[in-house]
Order: sequence, then C-alpha cells, then structure tokens
Amino acid sequence: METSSGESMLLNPAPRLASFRRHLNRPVDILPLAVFRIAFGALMFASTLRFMLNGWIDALYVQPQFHFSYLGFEWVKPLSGGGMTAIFIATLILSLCIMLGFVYRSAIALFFILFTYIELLDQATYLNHYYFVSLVSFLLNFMPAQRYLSLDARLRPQLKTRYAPFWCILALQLQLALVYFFAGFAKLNEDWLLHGRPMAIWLKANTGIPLIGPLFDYNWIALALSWAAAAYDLTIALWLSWRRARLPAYATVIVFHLLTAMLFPIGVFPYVMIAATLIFFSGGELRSALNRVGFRLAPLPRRAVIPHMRPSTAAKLILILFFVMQLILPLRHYLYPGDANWTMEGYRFAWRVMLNEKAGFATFYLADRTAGKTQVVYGSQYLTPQQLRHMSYQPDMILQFARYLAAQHPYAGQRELAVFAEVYVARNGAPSKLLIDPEQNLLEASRDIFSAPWILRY
Amino acid sequence: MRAARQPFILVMIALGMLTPLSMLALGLAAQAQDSFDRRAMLQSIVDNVILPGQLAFNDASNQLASAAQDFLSEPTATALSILQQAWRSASDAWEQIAIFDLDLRLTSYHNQIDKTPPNYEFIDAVLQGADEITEPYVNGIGSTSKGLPAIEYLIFSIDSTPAEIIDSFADPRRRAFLLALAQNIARKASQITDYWSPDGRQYAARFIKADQSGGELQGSINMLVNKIFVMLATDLQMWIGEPSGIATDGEARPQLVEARRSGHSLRHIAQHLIAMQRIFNGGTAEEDLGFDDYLDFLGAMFDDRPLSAVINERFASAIASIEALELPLAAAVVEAPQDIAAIYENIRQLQIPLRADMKSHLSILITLSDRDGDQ
Repeated sequence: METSSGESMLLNPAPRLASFRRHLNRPVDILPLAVFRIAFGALMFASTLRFMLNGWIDALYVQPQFHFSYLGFEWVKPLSGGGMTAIFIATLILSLCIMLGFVYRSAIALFFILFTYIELLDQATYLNHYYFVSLVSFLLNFMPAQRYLSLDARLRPQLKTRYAPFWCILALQLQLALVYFFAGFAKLNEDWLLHGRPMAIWLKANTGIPLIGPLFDYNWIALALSWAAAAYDLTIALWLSWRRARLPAYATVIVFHLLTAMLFPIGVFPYVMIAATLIFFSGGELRSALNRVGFRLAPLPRRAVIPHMRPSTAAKLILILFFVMQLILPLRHYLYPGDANWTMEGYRFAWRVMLNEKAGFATFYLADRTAGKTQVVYGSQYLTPQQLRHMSYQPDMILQFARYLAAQHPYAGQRELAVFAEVYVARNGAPSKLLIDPEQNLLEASRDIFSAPWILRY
Repeated sequence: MRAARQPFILVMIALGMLTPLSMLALGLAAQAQDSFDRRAMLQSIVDNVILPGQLAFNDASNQLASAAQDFLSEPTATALSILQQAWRSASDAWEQIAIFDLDLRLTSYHNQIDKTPPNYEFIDAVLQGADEITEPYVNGIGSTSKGLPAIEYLIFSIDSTPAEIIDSFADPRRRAFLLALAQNIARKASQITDYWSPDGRQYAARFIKADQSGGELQGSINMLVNKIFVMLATDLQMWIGEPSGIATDGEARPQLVEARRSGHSLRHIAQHLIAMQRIFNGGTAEEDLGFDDYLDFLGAMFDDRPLSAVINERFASAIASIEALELPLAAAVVEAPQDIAAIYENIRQLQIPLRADMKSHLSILITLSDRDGDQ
C-alpha cells in the first residue's frame, strides 16, 4: 500500500528503535525520488549553462588576482581559464547525466566533488543555495535515484525498481525542512519582526513594479510580509508534510518563491526550491499529476520484487553525522559573542538568508614601519566589485585581504609592516558604525574558528 | 472527520486566492497615496543637471572651435590666452557631464571627448605624418589621440613660453589638427545632445523609465550611484592618491597628475564633485527632487542628523578645500602636501555616508551580476 512519505513519520514517531529502523527502510514509491533527480539535474544544467553564458567563469574565477578562502580550505585554488571552463563543461555534462539517470553513480559523485570545489574557491561567491546544492548532491550519492525513469534502468533492466527505502525520501525532506526552519528561526529578531527590516528597504527599492509596486512604500506592508515570510519558513515543511494541506501549501511555495524571484536578483534559487519541494508529494500524487499532463506512468505494482534497501553501516554513520552537523552548524553562532548579523561569526552555512541589507566602506592603511611610511589602499585596486562588496562588511575577509596586501608589498618579509582598516558598515537602515577596531594591526590578528576580539560588537 | 476538513481546505484555498487579489487592490489604491516618486527624481536630474550640462558643454565646445579658428587666423598671445581659456571652460563644462556615460554608445562618445591617459606618441605621429588632417580624419582616429586632452597637449606646455607655443603653430599640420580636433569635439557634443533629446534618440525617456534599483540590475538609480562611486574612487586614488604618494609609497610624483599641462586637474575633480552634488540634490534649487529627498523620505539618519544633510556638508567641505588651494595639483603635491592630504581626507570622508549609508538605504547593487542576492 502506498503511503504518503513524510506524514506518518512526523505524526507517529515509532517508539522503539527496531521499529523505527523498519520504518525508515520500508519500501515506498520511488517516483518522488526519480522526479527529484530529474528536476535537480535539469536545474543544475540550466544554472551551469547560465553561469557560463553570463561570462561568470572569467569574472569570478579567472580575472580576480586574489581569492578569499574558507578557513581550512586555503589549499583549494582555481585552475587556469581553460581549466575552469573544462570544470564547468564537465559539471554541465554531469548535470545532464543526473537528469537522464545515465551513469548516475559516477555522475552524482563527480558532480558533488566539482560543484563543491567551485564553491570553495572564493568566499565572495558564497550563496546559501549553492551550499544547498552541495548538500543535496552529497545526499544523492547514497540514494538509488537512478533506478526508475532513467537511462541506467533502461540499459540495465535488472536495475529498475519501483521502490526506494523511505529514508531516502525522508532525508531529502528533512534537508529541505532544516533549510526552511533555520531560515525562519533566524528571522525571529527585532529588526525583522518589529521594524520590518530589511524587507522595508528592499520593497521601497521596488516600488516601480507594476500594480503591486506602489504598495511597497507602506511600512506595515513590509512588516506584514516579514511576519508572513517568517511564518512561511517556520511552518512550510509541516504544511507540505500534511497531505490535506499539501496542495495549497505547494501553491504558497510557488507564489512565495516567484515573488522573491521578482523582487530580488537571486538567480535560480526560487526555481530550485520550487522543484525541490516536490519531494514532499507522494508517488501517487505525482503520478496522477504527471499522467494528467500526458505522461503514461504505470501504477505502482502491488506485488513486486523489492530489492534489498538497507544502507551500509558506514553510510548510516555518515548520514547520521551529516544531519547532526546540519543541526549544529546553524546554531553555532550562539557560541560567539554579539549579533552574528553584525559580526558575521557563525553566519555562513546556517541558512541565514535575506536578513541584512548591508553596505560597507573600508579604507586600508598599509604601514611600512621600517621606512616610517603609510599608504592608503582601497580594495577596489585589487578586488572585483563582487569581492569588494562582500569584503566590506565581513571581518574574516577583511583580515584575509589585509594579509594579501602586506604580501604584495615590495618589501614583504624584509621590513616591518602593519595593516589597519577603517571599516564603516551600515546595516538595515541604521547609521553606519565602525565594524572593527581601527587600531588593530590586522597582521597580528589570528585567523581561526574562535571569536575575533578586534571585531567591535554592535 | 473527512467532511469536517473540507471546509478548512476550501478556506485555505480561498485565502490563497484572496491574498494576491487584495494585495493587487491595495496596490492600485496606493497609487493615489503619497509616496516617493523615483521617476520624478530621475526626471529632475535629467531636467536640472543632465540637459543643462549638455547645453553648457555644447556652447563651450562651439566657443572652443571658434576660439581655435580665431587663434589660427591671428596667432597672437591674446588669442592663445583666449583659446586656452576656452579650453578650460569647455573642460569644466565637460567634467560636469562626464559622469553620464550610461550606456555603450554614450561611453563611445565620451571616450572620444576625453580618454585618459592621452597617447602623445600617436598625436606626434599624426603631426609628423602625411595623411590629410580634416575633421572626418580626426573622427576616425583612436580616442586617446583626440578630444580635450589632445587639444591640451597642443595649446599648453609645461616648459615652453606662450611665444614658443604660438611659433609651433607655424606648422600647417598642427594648425589643421587643432581645428579638426575642436570641430570634432563640437560634433560629439551635439551627438550626445541628440542622443538624450526627445527630438533625437530619446535616451532621457529610457533613462527615466528604468527607475528600479532592486530587482532590475540595470536600473538608472543603480547606474547613477555606481557612477558616483567609481568617479569618486578614481579621483581619490588615481588622480590625487597616486601623484601625491598617499596611495603609494609616500613619494610625490607630479608627472602622474592628470591635465598637468593646463594645471587644471584639481578643477576637474571639483567639477566632478559639483556634478555629483547636483545629481544628489536633483539640481541646485531647494525644491528640486533628488537623492537627498529620497533619503529624507526613507528617514535616513547619520549621527542623529539627516543623512542627506551630512552628505551635502561633506560635498561642500570637499569642494571648498579644493577651491581654497591656489596651486595646481602638480605643484601642490610637492609644495603643499598637507593641503593635498586634507583634500584627500575630505573626499574620503564623503565616501563613508555615500558608500555605506546611502547604498544600504537604497539597496544599491554594486555588481552587475546576481551572484550575491542572498548572501
């Protein structure tokens, strides 16, 4: 019998571990997983192609003379122009393979490696939805998503099955639920809930939109939309998990993400989420919808050979660790003093999306103490506009740039150098303030996972 | 149970449909309410800054062409002085509209009027060459060999006396080049006017229509603010920071000063600041609608004062500090480094409320890619 995948788990958690295991491993319709794979591959293909056609390989990975690394990943470096183009062409082909379910196992593994490599190249290109893509492509490595509606299943019929273990569907649903929940949780702050900021700022910059645009000048609209967005993020996974609410909830998903696509330049993210949330639909729901638009998908056979579906112990451990990390990372900012929206400590990899309208202006002072001279430097002399924008309000990137500046000095290593930065940051409509201690020699500051004492708390 | 849930689902569907409809209705109703009209602001900038600036440059470039003609007819010290003054006036007028290279065609026109650094070697090659020098010939040569910097090269000198400059115009090719250059500038000036004009290519109308600054990456507000940022940064680092040594190793390098022959570099920077302040205020009159009013409408504050007032004060300080300096920049970087440091700091201080506060309030995107929408 077919059951809706998420709801029984959420509403009736099994009391005993053995029963829980059985519950996770029970076979369910593979169609949602296959649809997810196809949609994911198609969107990654479109996204990668768009990236290449916009000339962003060159702009983001070839032209910059300096790249901002992630702590611990300083060794990840871009290849030459030709090498980066080859990486993107490979990603494009792999996306196609994922969509078609062709040599899927190798394709998804390589896709995860290449995509994550690209994302690790420069902190200035960080986007939450690219992080999401990395996570999803990692999870897909453990799932038999190619065993239905795929070339692999067609070429090797013994591979084909109409069933997948429930945990596969659940893991993807859980990943999406975590994204939405933490995105909503991060919105529970004074600026968002009491002042409607930064929503008000963004809406007022978009009053030119036909028909609804003039409404955006009203602060109460920004406040109402802020609350609606927080409520949406916090609860949408629950609504989608509940079969009776699923259809209107999915309509809300579409409206919400199309609205964000209209208001903000966030690329393919809205479409990724609209496609990914299809994983909440049951196989029966998807099949009936697809058959209605002309597909001819056979109903799920009642008696079929159900393949062995238990993951290996190693896979289980990796997945458990994966989700534990997914719970810890978004909350780690509580370990740092001050507001993460200002300090940016613990901000990344935490689904803190659309929380800030920030702009910074940084002046660097490179002092040659041996010669007794100081020169004024601006990031624009070394960085791309995108890098400059991101660096101007992120202490970790400011520190990296300060070190780079010193390394570029003609007497680097021979003279005593110091780098100071005066950085003013304006956030969510509040007057600009100094972000870091302008008296701090950034060359003496350490870069590690601990809180930076030279950041001025808001 | 099933029957009890159905009304609930119907209510949810109804709410789902009603919400966008009610937003639409409220949006239509809101059109009648007070709000800040960004298109009116752009219209004000066009009417009070851009179009008058173009007219002024048109006049100045025609006067430059006529002063060149007069000088060539009667090459006296007075005529040279009038010509040099005409160049300064044209140059001042130009620098006030130089910021408006807002699309590819405008950039092409702008480059042909003022592209730095000039290619002196090619200019000398033209003078020593054999091609007939006419205005169409000048129109066809590269941007770095013509325009205002090329005329400056011909009629100003760092180490020659006025008499020697006049003598150099005994060369018929130099005479022909001067005239053709001046005529070509006048032609470009009229092409720019035509490009913006409602009777011509109607760029002004397109500029005003593209009024979005958030979702619309190429919005006019975004473009203008970005132009201001880029011009301020260039003036500060390249035209003051490098020759003064503030942005390098502390050593003054007068040879790096822009428009060094005419000694007009600081005046150029002052004209840029004047133009930027006019854009910011939407003109010169109190009632002109500009970014100042937009920021006031948004309630933007800076140190407990309206942000617009702080920005205007910093514009005024920067302009005043330049105007107070009587020396040309090339001399000042050597003889009055403390005054140059003060000018530098005033312009830097102006950048803080512009690039941090104003940018944040207006949600301006610096990069023209959507790679950084959600952080």
